[in-house]
Amino acid sequence: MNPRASGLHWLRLLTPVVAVALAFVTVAIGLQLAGADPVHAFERMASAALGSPFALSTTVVKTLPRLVAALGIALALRAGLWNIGAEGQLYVGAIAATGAALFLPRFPFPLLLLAGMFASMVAGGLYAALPGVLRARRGVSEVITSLMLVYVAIQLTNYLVEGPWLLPGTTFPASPIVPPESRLPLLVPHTLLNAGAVVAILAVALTWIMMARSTFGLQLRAVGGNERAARASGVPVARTIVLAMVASGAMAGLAGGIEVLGTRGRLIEGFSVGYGFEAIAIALLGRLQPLGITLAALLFGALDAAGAGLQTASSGVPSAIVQITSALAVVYVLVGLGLIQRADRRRSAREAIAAAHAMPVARGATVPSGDGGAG
Amino acid sequence: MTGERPAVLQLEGITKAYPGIVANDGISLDLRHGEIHTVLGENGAGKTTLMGIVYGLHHPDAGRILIEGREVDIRTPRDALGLGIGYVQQHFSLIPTLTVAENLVLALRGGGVRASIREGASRVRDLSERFGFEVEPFAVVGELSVGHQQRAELLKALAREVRILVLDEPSSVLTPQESAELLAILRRLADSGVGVILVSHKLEEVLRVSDRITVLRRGRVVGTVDASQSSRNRLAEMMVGELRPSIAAGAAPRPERGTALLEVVDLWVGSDRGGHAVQGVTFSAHRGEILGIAGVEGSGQVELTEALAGLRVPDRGGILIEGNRVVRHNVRAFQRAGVAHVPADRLGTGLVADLSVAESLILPQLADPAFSRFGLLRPREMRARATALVERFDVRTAGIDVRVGSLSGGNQQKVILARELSASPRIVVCCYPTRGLDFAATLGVQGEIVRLRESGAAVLYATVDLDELLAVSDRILVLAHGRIAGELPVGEASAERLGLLMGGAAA
Repeated sequence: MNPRASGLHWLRLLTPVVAVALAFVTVAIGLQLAGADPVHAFERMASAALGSPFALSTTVVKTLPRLVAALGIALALRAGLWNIGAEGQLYVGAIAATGAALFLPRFPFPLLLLAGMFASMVAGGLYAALPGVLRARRGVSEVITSLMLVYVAIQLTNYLVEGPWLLPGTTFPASPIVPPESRLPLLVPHTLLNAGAVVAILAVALTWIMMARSTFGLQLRAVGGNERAARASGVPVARTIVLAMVASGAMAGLAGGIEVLGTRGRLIEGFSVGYGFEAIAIALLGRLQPLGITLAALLFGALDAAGAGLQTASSGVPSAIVQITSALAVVYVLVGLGLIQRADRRRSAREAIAAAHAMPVARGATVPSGDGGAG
Repeated sequence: MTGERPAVLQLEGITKAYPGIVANDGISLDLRHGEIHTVLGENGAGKTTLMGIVYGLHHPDAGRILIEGREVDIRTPRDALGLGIGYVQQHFSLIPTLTVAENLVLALRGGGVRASIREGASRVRDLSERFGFEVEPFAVVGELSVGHQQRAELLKALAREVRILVLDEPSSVLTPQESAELLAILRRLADSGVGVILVSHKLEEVLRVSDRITVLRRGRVVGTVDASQSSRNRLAEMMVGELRPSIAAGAAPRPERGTALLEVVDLWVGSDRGGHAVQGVTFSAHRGEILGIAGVEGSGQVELTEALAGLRVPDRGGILIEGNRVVRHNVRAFQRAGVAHVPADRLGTGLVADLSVAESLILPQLADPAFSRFGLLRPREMRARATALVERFDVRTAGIDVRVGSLSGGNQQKVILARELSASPRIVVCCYPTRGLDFAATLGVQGEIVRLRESGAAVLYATVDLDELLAVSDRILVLAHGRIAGELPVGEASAERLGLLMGGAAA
């Protein structure tokens, strides 16, 4: 009865693990063929990503923006919307968080921080609302509009940190450091781990509740599954589309806010090296499930930290191999899930045969019970 | 009647299963040269799947196919064509901007045979003369009537020499006159030696034209009978398993016509293909009546009913519900005004395939505090409601958490009906509500609808099936080309008269 009570369900959960392992094997073969020592390279990577409390905290903070932005991507994708512009919403969120932290009155500690986080979500949400409204009202593809808005957001950031927000007398394109009242505090001294991790966990929980337990989530999935049927069932399709983009953008904006108020402490030109774009791959790798996304984001965060380790260690192995590894992992997962889906179809077909043979044909050939008054 | 003739096609133990359903379960049947062999069954019985297997659209999980005694493996439609199997599907696969001859040449190319337009045209003429098609080779397909388009489709299937011709529900889009002509053509084809498999669920038509009839029920063969030794009742019994009285026959008392619940004034509704599918229609539907809307497919039934459900914004004209003119043309406004809608296109418009049965049933009522609180779903209440509806409407499903898209067509339709009819609507707008439903379920649906009428609802019932219309309606409106071609009380209507009006004849 329960569709999950099958071995294939476990296989499905296992797929990303196998895919990641295969990605490492592939890279190892490549390194070997190129004359490098894969074991040595992997040791370097592991130690940079996992080797010490500090390394672990590096992995976590590199995970956070990817994770939160990927949650946003998944929300939009559930509604059938490709929010390619998460990167832009992330920048706008970072700008808003910085602005709030720098220019609001210096409220005491949690208040200014909360104001900054809130600002980042509102800014990201509104920025994504624009493609959402265009899609809902005019049928304009959200892929194009949200992508184009990425460049606007990046240029706006550059303008701010090179112009009005540039600290007088400096040339490094960055805003001043935000006041301590607005910072996400460090959770463990002498590491990078900050309270952004707590925010991210809350975001994961919130996303799960929204998707699986809220009326909005059901409407979201209805629209994503079949817009026309959703409309025929009375789902307010246009509103759902706009709200899905807003929720998606708010998550991306929050990712930017965490980056500014937590990890970096200020707005820096080009601070996001494509977190918003990687988030798309992470959302897919995590199969649009909040927990899966968390694991996928951790993998990407760890690889990012590992890549930094390779760069500093002069191992003779280019740090680009971490990108190759993550890309291969995504490809393998998609292939694996495709294969499982086929097997699943065959298997449930076999089960259906067995079930049909267990049950006499005549069963259930009845007219619906006639209690007409019940309606 | 053809006992000595050899079999051209034999199916042995064909089995094909899909998630949650065994569509074909050890089906065996044989088709002889020159016979019309009907595969009869309720929808969901596995007819279309079986024919798809013969044509190489699906591959069976088990079983053998023999053509003239030789076992064959049909993996693609191209294999099927090579073996001399022609297939006319329910939906046309013609290119409307090309001529009949050009479509035929394309079909030949698809099968790997090169032919000139002239050769195509002469083939059309040749077939046309031999079998009485009366199709002009250089007519543009899109300009032909539906009946002639279907003949063009049939010509296309006959483009190459065929030994076996399969037609899936060929008469569903035709007026009664057109389908009589089609059946005559099929008889001539069979007389020329072609084995014809006709897929149908229309008992009268089947008895009239077939030599033998194989009845399927739930993916299995119930039996094969000679048409000459069978009867409507016997076939119905085989299809359903037990015979039930038709609700039909005006048995139910028809209450006095009440006040107008729904008024439609000079309504114009656009079509997806441009232009107007509904052109200046005016009528009213009253409390306690079932207003049948007759018409062939493409006559504007779909667009009209969608406009009356808020799914389409009319270009002109007005809709009044209980005397109040509708200003907001969206589904929710209509739902709040008490309108329920059973759309024509089950998976396209009726359901989101990826949602579960429970989610599908609850979707229009998300705002109801019984099922949600503070924007969060109340799973227990939701599931209780879904379970009750599944039982009441006899939805056959492995559970309420199953993807609704994995149910059979008939059961999907039951989910839609459960969702729409359970909310005690004042006005019910249905388009093809029993399409794809089996015999028993059809009666069940009609029973629900009659009960709604008795509780004072106004029901609009659009269908292409005249027998059904005559059985259910109190009054019948005939649509032809988007206009009202006539309006008859059911007492004055007959299939023949309606058929003429549907074809566009003056009232």
